[in-house]
Amino acid sequence: MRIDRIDLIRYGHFFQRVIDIPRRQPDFFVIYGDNEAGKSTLLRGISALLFGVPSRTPDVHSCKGPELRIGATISDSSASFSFRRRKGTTATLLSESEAQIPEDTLTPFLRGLDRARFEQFFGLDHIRLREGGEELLRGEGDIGSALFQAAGFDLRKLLDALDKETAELFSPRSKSRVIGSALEEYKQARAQVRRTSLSGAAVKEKQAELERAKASRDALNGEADLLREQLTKLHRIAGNKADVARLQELRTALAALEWVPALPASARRQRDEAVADLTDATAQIESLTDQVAQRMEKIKALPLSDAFKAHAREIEALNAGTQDYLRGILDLPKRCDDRDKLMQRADMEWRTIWPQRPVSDAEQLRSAYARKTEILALITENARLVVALEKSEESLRSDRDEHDRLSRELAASAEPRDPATLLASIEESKRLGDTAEATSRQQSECKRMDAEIARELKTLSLWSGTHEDLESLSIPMLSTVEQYARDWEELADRRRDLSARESSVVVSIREKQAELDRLGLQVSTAGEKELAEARDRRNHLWELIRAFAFEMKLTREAAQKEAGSRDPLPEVFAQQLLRSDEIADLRFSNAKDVAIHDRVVKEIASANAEQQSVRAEASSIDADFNDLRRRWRTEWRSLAADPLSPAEMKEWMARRQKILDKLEQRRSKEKDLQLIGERAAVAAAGIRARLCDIGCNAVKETDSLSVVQSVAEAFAKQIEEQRRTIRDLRRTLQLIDLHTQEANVNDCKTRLSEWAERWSPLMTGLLLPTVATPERASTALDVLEKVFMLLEKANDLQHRIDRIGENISQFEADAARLAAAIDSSLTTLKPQQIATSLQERLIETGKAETRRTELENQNTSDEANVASCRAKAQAATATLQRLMELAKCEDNQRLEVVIAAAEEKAEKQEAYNRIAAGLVERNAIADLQHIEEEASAYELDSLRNEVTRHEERQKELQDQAFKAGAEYGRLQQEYERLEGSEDAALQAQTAEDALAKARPAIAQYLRLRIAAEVLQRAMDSYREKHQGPVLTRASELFSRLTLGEHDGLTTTFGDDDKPVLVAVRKNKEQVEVAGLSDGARDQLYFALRLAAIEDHVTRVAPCPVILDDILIHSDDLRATTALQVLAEIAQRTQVLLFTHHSRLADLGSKAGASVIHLQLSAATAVA
Amino acid sequence: MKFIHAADIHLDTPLQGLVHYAGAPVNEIRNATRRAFEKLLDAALTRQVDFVIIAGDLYDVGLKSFESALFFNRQMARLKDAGIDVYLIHGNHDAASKLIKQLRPPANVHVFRSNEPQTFRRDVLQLPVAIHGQSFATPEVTDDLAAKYPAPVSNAFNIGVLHTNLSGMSEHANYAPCTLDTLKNKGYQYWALGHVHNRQIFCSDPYIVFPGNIQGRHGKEPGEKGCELVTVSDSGAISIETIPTSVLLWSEVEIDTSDCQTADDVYDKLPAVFCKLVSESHERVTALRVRIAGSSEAHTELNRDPEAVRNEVMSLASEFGNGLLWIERVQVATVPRIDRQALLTRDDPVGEVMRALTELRKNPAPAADWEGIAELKKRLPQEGAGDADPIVLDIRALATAIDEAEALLLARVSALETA
Repeated sequence: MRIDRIDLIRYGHFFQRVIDIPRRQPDFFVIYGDNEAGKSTLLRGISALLFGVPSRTPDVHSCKGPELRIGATISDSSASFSFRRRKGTTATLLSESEAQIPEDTLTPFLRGLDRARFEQFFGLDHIRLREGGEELLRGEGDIGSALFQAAGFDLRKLLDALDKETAELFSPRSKSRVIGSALEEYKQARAQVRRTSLSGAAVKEKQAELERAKASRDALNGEADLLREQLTKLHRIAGNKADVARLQELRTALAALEWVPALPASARRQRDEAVADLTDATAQIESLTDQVAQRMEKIKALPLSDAFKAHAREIEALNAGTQDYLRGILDLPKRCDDRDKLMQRADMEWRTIWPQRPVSDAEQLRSAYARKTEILALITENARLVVALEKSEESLRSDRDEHDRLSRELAASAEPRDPATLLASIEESKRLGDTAEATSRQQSECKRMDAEIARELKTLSLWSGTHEDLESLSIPMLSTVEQYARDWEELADRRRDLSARESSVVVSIREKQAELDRLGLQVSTAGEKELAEARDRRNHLWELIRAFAFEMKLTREAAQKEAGSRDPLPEVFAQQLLRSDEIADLRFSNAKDVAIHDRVVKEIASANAEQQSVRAEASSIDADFNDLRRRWRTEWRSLAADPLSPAEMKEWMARRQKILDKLEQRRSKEKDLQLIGERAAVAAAGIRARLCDIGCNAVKETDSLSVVQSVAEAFAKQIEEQRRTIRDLRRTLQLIDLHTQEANVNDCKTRLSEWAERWSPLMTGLLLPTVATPERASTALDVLEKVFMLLEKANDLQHRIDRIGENISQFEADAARLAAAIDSSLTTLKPQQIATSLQERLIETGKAETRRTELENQNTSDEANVASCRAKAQAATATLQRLMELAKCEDNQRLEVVIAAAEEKAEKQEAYNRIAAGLVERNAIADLQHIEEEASAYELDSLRNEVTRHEERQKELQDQAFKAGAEYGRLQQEYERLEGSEDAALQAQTAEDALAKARPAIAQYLRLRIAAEVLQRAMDSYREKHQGPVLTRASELFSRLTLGEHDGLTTTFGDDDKPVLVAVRKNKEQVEVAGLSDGARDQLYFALRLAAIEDHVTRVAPCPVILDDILIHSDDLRATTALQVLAEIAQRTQVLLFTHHSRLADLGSKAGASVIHLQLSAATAVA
Repeated sequence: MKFIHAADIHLDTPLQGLVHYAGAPVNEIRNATRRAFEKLLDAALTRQVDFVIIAGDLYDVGLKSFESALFFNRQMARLKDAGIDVYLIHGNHDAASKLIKQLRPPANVHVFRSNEPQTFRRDVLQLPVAIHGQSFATPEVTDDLAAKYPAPVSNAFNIGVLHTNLSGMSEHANYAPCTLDTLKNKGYQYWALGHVHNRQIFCSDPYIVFPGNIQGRHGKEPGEKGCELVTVSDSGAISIETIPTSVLLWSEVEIDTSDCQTADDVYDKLPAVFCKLVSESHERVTALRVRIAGSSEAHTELNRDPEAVRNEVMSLASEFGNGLLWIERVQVATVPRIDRQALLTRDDPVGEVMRALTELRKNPAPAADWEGIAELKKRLPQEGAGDADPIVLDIRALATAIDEAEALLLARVSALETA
């Protein structure tokens, strides 16, 4: 991608500003502007353009947020795209007409680049250069990761996502994550299982407790049952006492009524009912006979008529038809009028087609109209045939014209020659690849190498000649140099050692002298030397005294003179004696200090001697060194300059060899260039020859292969086009078939004549001319349809009119007939009046008939009742007679007495039986005598006392049994609860559920964790493999950018065993980044970026590099080098360098950049 | 004569592998083994059988609460009231369990002794019956118990009750192994076997029958479970009817994705599958393992986030399962349409990932010591959790996870590449 134009519509300070960035080679632009000209704004703007305007942007101060606009035209090798960007959160990408366009429209240009990556590598200001550089070194955005992103996507983000997902599932330090929580849940549920589990002992204990409670309850219940039995017996005996006494009374009374005959229990009722029935039947017979006679009289008085009865249905029918009759009389004229109107409309329609014929002829056309479908099909067919004929004729005409035109065109076109051989030549030449590009690349490479060689030569110390001279320069063998180096180093080491020794001795003397000074003046004057001197002087003076005083060898004067003092000799001797004693005393009293002093003094003397020895040795080594130097210079006499040290010269030789290697590479590239040129020339000559063969002389001998290729391709394409055109013409001519078209026309005509033959008879049937057009026939059919419809309606109306007339006549006839038959006086009335009168009289006659029937029915019923009463009276008489026979009496009164006695006897017997049965039943003892004896055995009072005593005991037992039962029930419930308990089982299920929850989470965790680890390892591996080239390139660039102060970069391991980047100084010293100067650190960051940018451009795609004043801390030499590097990168991708330093703009221009002046108020221009 | 032959009740053992989620029919399967056992006894009562045979493993080895034994005793009391006896042997699980030994069963429950074979006679029937059996004395009986079973009682219907791993069926522990010939040659008319959890009839003359367990407890025990209702006519003719007892059915369906372009295409197939399962389940809950397989365009989308697929499947199960579907597991086992060899040779991160995975697959063991995995391994419960898929991070589990990790990585990298 490159930026062709930037439209600063409303952005920051900019308003309606356009920056055009034309394509140049190198694609390197310095955007130069004063401070505050908006360079930083422009850098932010480009980032915003590509990735959106940040919500908090400083660039909205001259317009409102929504009005902010920045646009651009960007392009790549295949497309160009103009767009705008607005501020917002969604749909911020706009077309030039401000229409929304999808964000992914930019994707093909960005090729996986995101804002972070862009701002870390491609859109740099000084702050980002440093911050991003530090990030790179910290490994957060390490080069490996950068490479991963350069592959088109960011695996570190994927790794972060995987890590995040795994952390959500499980963390060794947390119990709250999904897996930890599930496992904890499992643990708790298992503990709960253990707590809720029932033990066998607990169950057995519960069972035993239950058994005990049951036994206790059963014992109490047993005693209570026994007591209840006794109490029941006593209650029973007490209850029997009264009944037994009554039983004995009844037995006595029954014995007194033994004379009474046995009568049925219903004897009294039978007698009473028979007397009552006899009286009632007699009274009813009399009353009913009177009522029957009265009803017979009433029947005779009713108005009855047989004539109405005979015509009842006819009268009712006549009356029902009265309304229809009256409505018919009113409707008839209106219907006639409607019918006439319909006939008139039918006639009018008819005459539009058949004016000469009456409408009554329409019926003749029924059969013809029945073939309507056939006629309509023929009409449709006719239309289709006519259209087909017209089309065929038109097609024939058109094809004839086209045939003529193509024939003319073909005749005018000459057949060009086959371009196959030309195409083969082009194809063969293309196998050479893009020779122009290869040549350009090689030339550029040669140029770069020339520049590098020149720069290397320039920076090669001790040399000012050409590279040819350098190449032919006679220099010592490397082994010789190394031998010299070793000797040199050995001498230097020895000299260094001696210097060190001398320094050490000097220091030692200085230190000892200082120590001597510290011992003090007193002691310093009482040294061994001073003592010896004082004693020597004393002894000398004594010898002089002895010589002139005792031995007389000398005179006093001679001795005085030799003593060297004006004072008299004995005094001088005495003073000297005192002096030596004082020194000796002083030394004695400060013995320790004196000892030290003496030692130090000796050591100083020894050190001085050593110093002298070292100096002598140094002189010897210096002589050897001078000899070595002399011989060394002799070795390098061809250099025409004093050589440096062997080690430095070894380095010098390496640099020379590097230059020579580059020269060799340069020559190799030159050869490649030449070979490419030769091959291109041969290929171009071949194509030219083929072009000449087919008549094209459009290329010159001097044209390059690419020009020849493009001309030849264009020509071949043109010839191919011509040949294709001729082929197309011939094929088209072959495809035009005039015979078929003519046959089609004739066929259509034939089918039309066949159609006319089928059409004529149908028109005759419709009473139309045989040549009637389909339109006329169609109209006739429509009219005929209408006429038929109107005639049918009229016909329907006529039928209705006829029916109404018939109804009227029938009604009048029926009325007259009925009047004559029933009452001739009615014949003078109107028919409807006759009907009404007859109906009224029919209703009256019906009512009379009903009344007669009712009366006759009542009489029949009463007569039956009379017969029934007579039978009842006879039965009552018989019953009375039978009862008297049973009672053995003659009359009704005696019968009453016997019945009363029999009833008393039966009543007492019944009471006796009831009491006896009650006793048997209540006591459940069949033996009545036993019951009476039992009752007799107890006195009532003692019986009551015993019952009371038993009842109290029973109450006590009931309370105890109830409590025991309740306890048993409680225990049983508990046991049943245990039997139904499933707590432990449910808790076990809960534990299993927790494991079930953990299982998929663990599976997910495993796959995520393994995925994350594998990804991390793959990234590390990839980084190790691919970081190398980037690091090598960064190393080269760093060396260049620091003007050779640093050899490059390398990696080592830090305290945490992670690889760290270090710089290598010229003297091979490795320096951590923290130890670099600010400038060197900037150059390091810059070198890393440039290497990564080159990698991205190579691996993915070109992308603009925008740099905002990143060279401000560089001096001219370093800035020039950086600009040259940028110019090289600009051969492959666009580079925009913003600066407000005119110096940098000038340097940039010299390095090949185009300069664009950026001003807030004026238009930009490319210099 | 009619009797019920059941085995491997494993009373009160939990169902394994069912993750609770919103919409899962939790209450419908509460303590499923008890409900299944109740169904078995309901059948015994309604079919008026003469006796019931339980051929071992009434309880599970993991159970220590006597509430299970109390429940069993109470259920046995129902049969006692109806005059139905129960003949029961201890299997490997019972022998390990203390439940039966410490709690005396009701009088109608006859437990075979474990030191030697024992025979119970039922001569009151029109057809005299001799029931032979021997309980396990210890959990691990490796002798051929059947060999020492007594000779058949003449003029009686002889039933052998045995808890055995017949002919060394590989997926079951090899307890009391015996051969088919041993059983056939014994001269009994019916062998009521237990131990194998899948219903199998090995022979019909004599009948040698494993009824299977009465309730599947995990995904490896799929399909209908139940007991055998055996009817013997006076002439000795035998007919067998299976009585279903499952409260919950375990099932697995495989969704073929070969014609799918997207994950939505896969999801579109599920409602029909779910509706069919529900209609065939006879109003019972089905615990379903959904395996999504095949090679398709949808592979990448499905493998990008298997959890999301699981959630979608569960959501559809809630919608179309009529409250009767419980998604036990969703296994995305689709095969990518990729050229693995081509990926391995790529000089990019994907190539590095593939090579790293290939190396790891050759030796997955070191992954167990990776950070996180090692700690997780320590945190996993040490106690046994039944016999289905214990959570162990062994080589097999790691190998599976490596395969899944590869699918996931390729899917996510592919998503990045196409983004």
